[in-house]
Amino acid sequence: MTTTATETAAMPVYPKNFLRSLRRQNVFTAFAGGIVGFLVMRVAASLFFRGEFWHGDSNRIITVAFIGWGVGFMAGIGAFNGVFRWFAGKDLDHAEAEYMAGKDLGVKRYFRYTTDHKVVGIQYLVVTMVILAIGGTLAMLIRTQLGISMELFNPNTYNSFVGTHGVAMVVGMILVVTGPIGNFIVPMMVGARDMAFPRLNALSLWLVVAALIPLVMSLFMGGIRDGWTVYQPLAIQAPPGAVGYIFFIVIFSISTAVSSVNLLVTIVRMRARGMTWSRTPIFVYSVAASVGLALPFFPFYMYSQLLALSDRTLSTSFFIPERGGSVWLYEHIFWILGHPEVYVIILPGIGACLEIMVVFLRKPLFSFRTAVVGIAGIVALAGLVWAHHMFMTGWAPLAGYPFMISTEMISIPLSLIVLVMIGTMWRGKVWTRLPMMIIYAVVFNKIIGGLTGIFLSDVPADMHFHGSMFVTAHFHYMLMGTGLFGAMAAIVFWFPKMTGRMFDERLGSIGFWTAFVGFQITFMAMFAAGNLGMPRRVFQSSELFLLSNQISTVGAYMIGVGMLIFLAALISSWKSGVIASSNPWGSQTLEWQTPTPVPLENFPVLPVVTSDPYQYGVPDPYQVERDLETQKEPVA
Amino acid sequence: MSAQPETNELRSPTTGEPIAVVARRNLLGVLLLIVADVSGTIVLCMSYLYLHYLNTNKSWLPEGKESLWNTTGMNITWPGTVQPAVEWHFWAISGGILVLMLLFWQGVRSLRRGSSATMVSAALIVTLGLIGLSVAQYLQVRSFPFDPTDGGYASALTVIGISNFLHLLLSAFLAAAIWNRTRVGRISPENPYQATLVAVWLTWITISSVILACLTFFLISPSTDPTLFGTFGS
Repeated sequence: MTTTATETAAMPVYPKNFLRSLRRQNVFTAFAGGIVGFLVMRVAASLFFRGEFWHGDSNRIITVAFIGWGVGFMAGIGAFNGVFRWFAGKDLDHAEAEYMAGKDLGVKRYFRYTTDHKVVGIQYLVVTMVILAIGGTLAMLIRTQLGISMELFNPNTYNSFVGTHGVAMVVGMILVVTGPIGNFIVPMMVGARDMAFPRLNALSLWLVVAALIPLVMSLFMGGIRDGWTVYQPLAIQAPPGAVGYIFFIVIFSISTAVSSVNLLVTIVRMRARGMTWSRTPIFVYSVAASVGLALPFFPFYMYSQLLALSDRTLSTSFFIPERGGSVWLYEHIFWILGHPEVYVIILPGIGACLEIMVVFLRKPLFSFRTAVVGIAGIVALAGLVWAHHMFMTGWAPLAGYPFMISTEMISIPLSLIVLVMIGTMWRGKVWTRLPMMIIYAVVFNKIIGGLTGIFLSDVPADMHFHGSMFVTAHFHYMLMGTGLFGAMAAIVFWFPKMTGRMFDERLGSIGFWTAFVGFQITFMAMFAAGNLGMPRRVFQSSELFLLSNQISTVGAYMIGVGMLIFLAALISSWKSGVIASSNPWGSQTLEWQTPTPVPLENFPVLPVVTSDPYQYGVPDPYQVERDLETQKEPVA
Repeated sequence: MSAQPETNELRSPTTGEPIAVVARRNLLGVLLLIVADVSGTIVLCMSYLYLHYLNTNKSWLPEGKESLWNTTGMNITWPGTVQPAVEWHFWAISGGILVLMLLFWQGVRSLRRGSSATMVSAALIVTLGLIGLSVAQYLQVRSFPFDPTDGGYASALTVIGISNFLHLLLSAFLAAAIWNRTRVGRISPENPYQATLVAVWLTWITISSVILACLTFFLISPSTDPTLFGTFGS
């Protein structure tokens, strides 16, 4: 991607009238504000509703207390400062904007309401790791229970672990590429100085942090015992832990909407001069498609939970059949997001793989347009497939067939993308580095996940597989096998740009391969158990499935060990890895054309794009690797 | 975040970019946020109509309270299941929002022609009007002739009322901000874009309010032999 100079960033001098309150606000004041808000509102609600904390009107009390938590937390971090300043007519000047972006604040900027997209990207990375760690730990506990024939936990605790694991992992997967990489890399990739709305960017991140506490608290309030889908009317009878789930989803949905708008506007309006759609990197397409799906569909998820909250606190009856409600209504609203959410997760991971593989194969993407058509096809069909989750619910049996066809049709654009991946690999001169190894794994997992999904989209076959461990194995191949492994490739690939250091590929490879082998053991055995008829979400199963479960549990431990090794590689590389040059992979996209560490304004000179980003003509890709040894640039 | 060299063109004090560039970006952002809000309105419509057509357990309308519905006193039999809208309060509030939205647009128009004073007046009136409508919406929800527990219709109408209420509160805040920012000169004939954005938002909440009010046409459920729950013996 050729770049030329167009303008030089001039730095006018503004009076240093920084926001006083912002200096004192950080993650600690946020938590303090949240706790105060929670306690004040909890006491006020107790007095108003005259209920006890754990009984009686506890739903209303906890609802009000969580509102207090959210408002207090966001006030404590400084999210409302900008709103009130805007109301008062005091717009930020350039110096204030730079202060908010964390200029000269050092490591403190990672603990504040910082607006610089690169800081937000790193913050997202850490927050996502925390969410995945919570979900992963619960997965180990779940597998431990299923792998032995004795009772480790009581059934309610087990169910609660399953529900919390599910929702934590779903949210973690949604964030894992779009959060860190989307925020850090995409603005640079399109040649922008920052995201379109920097303050909204910080808002989206801190909303996720605020949402986490209700989720964790739900474990101590009876838990989320009805799975991540929290089907009604079971959930309406669940303990107040369900309110924690509802708040987690509602706050996260708001964060997603804000983040989606920000990324879309950045991509549509802030691309560098000359970056036509045909010159826009494929990863940008995939992120745009992902957030473009999340924006209209996530409100469905949010409203499904708001209506459930209304049933719990206002005694309405949206989902209570005895009083005129319908559980099918819940399932429709839930799955209208619930299925597109799969594509929200996997599209950025796949896009990252497409983006990375051309670098390590030193050849253009095989049919860029086919990849774009594949992504567009998924977006077009994603909203038409939700009811295949309802084949067995008794809802409109004849409607199953159009949904079966639409679901099977969506495998066509997905297959197009796989074909582009295989076509790009075909006769490529492979530069064997860790990201490329992970991409092979992603292609393998995606094929397995895609093929098994066809069985589930088929009405007669789904009668056998529905609600079984086969389904669990299938969606883990899609979400984890494609989404999470794709994210690992993305993190290793963009790690030098994000941290200024090379990822320790030796240790990372040990972690990745251990996790990959463990993944196959876990979920192949789970396919077998599901095919034999083992249902999902069971506390104890028949002896018939014990061997499969034991194999799965061993595999799960391997995944856990592998992920820990990978995490250790990430932390040690971040701390003391080899200093990276500005473009260690010899990539041609814009983010690699700027120095490392990336300056506050990304580009000293705004780039102009004159060609597509995949003009690879390097005859010897290994030359780049040799260059790496000589291009040592200091990291500040 | 780059600051540009000084020219005659009005520039953002934050980024140094031309105001028109920032405005185009902001307009797209507001339109996309409206897309998300549209989904919320679709969920409310879907919930109302779904429960209306299912009439699960014959509990769509509250039992024995049908007479309280016809607050307009109209007694017209329409074909099929479409009935005259009986909840005139919704229509009154929707009409109020429509008038305020038109007034706000008029203010924006005047602003673009050079009159900030008209915009200040319009924004102030719209703010007060929206606060008044918020109170009216609150009172309507509090004075429904049924409880939220009285079936699908009662549930849907209560939540629609709350949704309208929250829309009105947010809009009142935005209109008040435009009043203040115009008053202190941040919004001016040379920089009218934020007022336009709020006008676009007001247009959407007017449409949303009218759509939700239209739902009240669908009163009597067409399902005369619905699924029964809670009486498993039958």
